[in-house]
Amino acid sequence: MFIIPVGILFVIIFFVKTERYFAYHYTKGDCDGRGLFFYNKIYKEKNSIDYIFIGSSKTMNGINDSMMQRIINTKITTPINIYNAGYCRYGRNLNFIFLKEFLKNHSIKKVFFEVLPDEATNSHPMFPFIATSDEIISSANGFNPSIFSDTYNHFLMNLKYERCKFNLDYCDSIPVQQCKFGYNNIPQIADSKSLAKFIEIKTIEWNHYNSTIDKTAPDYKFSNYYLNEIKTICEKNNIELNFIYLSSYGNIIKTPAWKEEYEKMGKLIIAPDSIFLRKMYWKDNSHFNSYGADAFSKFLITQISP
Amino acid sequence: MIFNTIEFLIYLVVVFFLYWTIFSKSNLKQNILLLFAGYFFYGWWSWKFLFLFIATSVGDFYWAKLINSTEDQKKRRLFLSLSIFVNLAVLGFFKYFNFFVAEFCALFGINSGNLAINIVLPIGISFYTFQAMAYVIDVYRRKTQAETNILTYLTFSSFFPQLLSGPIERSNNLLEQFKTKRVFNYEFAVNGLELMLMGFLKKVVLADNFAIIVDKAFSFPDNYHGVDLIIAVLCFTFQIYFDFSGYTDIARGIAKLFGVQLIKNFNNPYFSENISDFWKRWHISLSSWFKDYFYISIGGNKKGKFRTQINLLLTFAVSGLWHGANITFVVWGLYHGLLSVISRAFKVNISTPKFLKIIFTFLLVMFGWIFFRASNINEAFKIIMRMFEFNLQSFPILNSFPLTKIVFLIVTLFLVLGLERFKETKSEFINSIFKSRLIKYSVYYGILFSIIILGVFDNAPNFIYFQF
Repeated sequence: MFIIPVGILFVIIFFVKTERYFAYHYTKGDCDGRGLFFYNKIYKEKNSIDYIFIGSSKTMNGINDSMMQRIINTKITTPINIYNAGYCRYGRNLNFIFLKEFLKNHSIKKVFFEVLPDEATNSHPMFPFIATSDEIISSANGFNPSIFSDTYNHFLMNLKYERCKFNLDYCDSIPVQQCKFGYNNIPQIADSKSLAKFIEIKTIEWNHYNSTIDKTAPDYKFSNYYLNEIKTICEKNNIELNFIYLSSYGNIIKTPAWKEEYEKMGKLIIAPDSIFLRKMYWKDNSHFNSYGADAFSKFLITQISP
Repeated sequence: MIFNTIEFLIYLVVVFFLYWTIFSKSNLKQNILLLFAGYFFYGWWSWKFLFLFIATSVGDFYWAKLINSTEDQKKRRLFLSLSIFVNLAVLGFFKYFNFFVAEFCALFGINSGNLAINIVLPIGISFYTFQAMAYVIDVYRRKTQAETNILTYLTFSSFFPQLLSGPIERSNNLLEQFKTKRVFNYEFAVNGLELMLMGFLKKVVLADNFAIIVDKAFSFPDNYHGVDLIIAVLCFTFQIYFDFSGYTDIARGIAKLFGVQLIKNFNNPYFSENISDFWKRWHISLSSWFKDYFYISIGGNKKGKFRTQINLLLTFAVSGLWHGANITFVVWGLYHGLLSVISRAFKVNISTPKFLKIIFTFLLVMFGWIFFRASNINEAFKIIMRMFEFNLQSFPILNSFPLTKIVFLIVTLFLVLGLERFKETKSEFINSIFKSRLIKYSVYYGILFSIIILGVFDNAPNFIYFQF
């Protein structure tokens, strides 16, 4: 009985509707403050996206949206806008939430989701801040493995929001930077020794890994749930759903383990080996540098042009 | 796994539930659960060092048995010396190796870089080593019998609420409690929860908020001066008290949930009337350890006035070094030693009002904390120098919080200090007030809501004494 009023207070704070700016602002120390760029794109630059790329830092570094837009628009009569919404680290739940967020103010025609050799089974660390209270609760249906910590982190964010409202904490507001495109241009080329070492280590590990993936394992219920949610929302909004395979250097695993599942939902794009094998295209063993991004983006243009 | 984390809360609930259900039938079962819970708790931090901890605990159990098994004084002394040597060797290696190498090399102008090795300090090593040494010495001094049941002894040495930061228990209190079955006592458990609540208030609301100001000032002392630095030192004075006494309250509260009574580690230290009084009230388990096992062993006050003063200085210097391998701690210890020597040497019977004595002692203690908190001696002196550069125009250090929060924190600080002081001096009055359910529950809810509204939860800051 004693703890009930405290529990009620916890629930009230958890369900506080936090201003969207505050939620994105709360993530300002993460991923070079891209959350605030996204806020700007979603809420300030309405109807400025036709094609969107959603994924991790591999997408962020690997897809040159401005170049793709420029080249594609020279070939078509009605210009389109392309945006790279890659955000550091993995987690299908955040992919889904970003899609929902972007759909609030943009009539997206095509969405491209990054896929890896295997589906990630974890909740994205930014999910509890970008998702609303309802979305966090409903993530339990999707077997969110981090439901408790996500709930707690969302509570902490809302608590800070309330404290700021009652002048019990400082919530400095920083001006939102204008950033038309989301691509992260890095010209640095990886050290070839470290790339060779990577191949040496991963060849054995990944070959074994690929043959042992059990797609019915409980861990995958989470990503399956969000993939289905993505599919549903795309159908509802008449959006063409695409998947892009973003392998690592060496492309040891030629196709993702979930190839069939992706193909049932939409189009799966797999780039030729030549792009993944060239050493000068990589910033490190997992991320393209600007040369790799340009090559990969040029390949994508051939696949996605209207 | 620290007390102010969700993982610990889950762990505590599970262990508590198992303890009073499946494992409640006998003393043996209760001890088995507590032993595994203690090892799990320690292993959560490092499984590697868990083995070191188990090895030293088992070693101490057998050293004590060997001492107990013979009446030959020479043999008893030999076993005691070996036990102390092993304990101090382990502690010395992990905690002081690099420090002594660096100091030695500095003395002879040698480059210490080649000799220093990368050593991780096992958490709680200073606490559990001292507790084990106290047990073996007590057996040697025939103050206690060596425990014959290894399970009981290991439960005593690994009792998780006090494993990492004390209180450093004596076997005649804690070990004895593990020899009989604990029976659930509602009042005792409620009292434990009250202590925990108070501990969390001290830690999460007071200590962790003060830490924000302290960290700013001590990380960038060049950015502040005058009143700003005085405020920062004052904040650290309260931070360290609320952090450590908060930890102790939580530890004592958790122990009570398991039907175990731990000793009191703090008794309103900031209301001390002189330095000797302060050391009777601050970190009582450690200061009494040093008194009983170090100060007395080196002669105490039995070898004349001069030797007493030297013994005092030595005891305080070693107690400073116990806190960490840094010259700042030694200086802090020597500073307190010097104050104790001076207060003994110049004892005059002038009737000074009590509150003036308290304020004077508080200021002396506060000054000493500068050495304790500073990362090196130069920084400590820099802070002292800059404290006296007055500029009353602005206080950037206070910009850390909105005014509303500062007011709330000050009110909470005085309420907590006042409540603790009243508990000491007017306990009957406090108890009579707390008989009213309305008042009692208002205080409980007041504390809980203060924790929620004012507490620091981001990144769960560690307890200061965990580093020792």
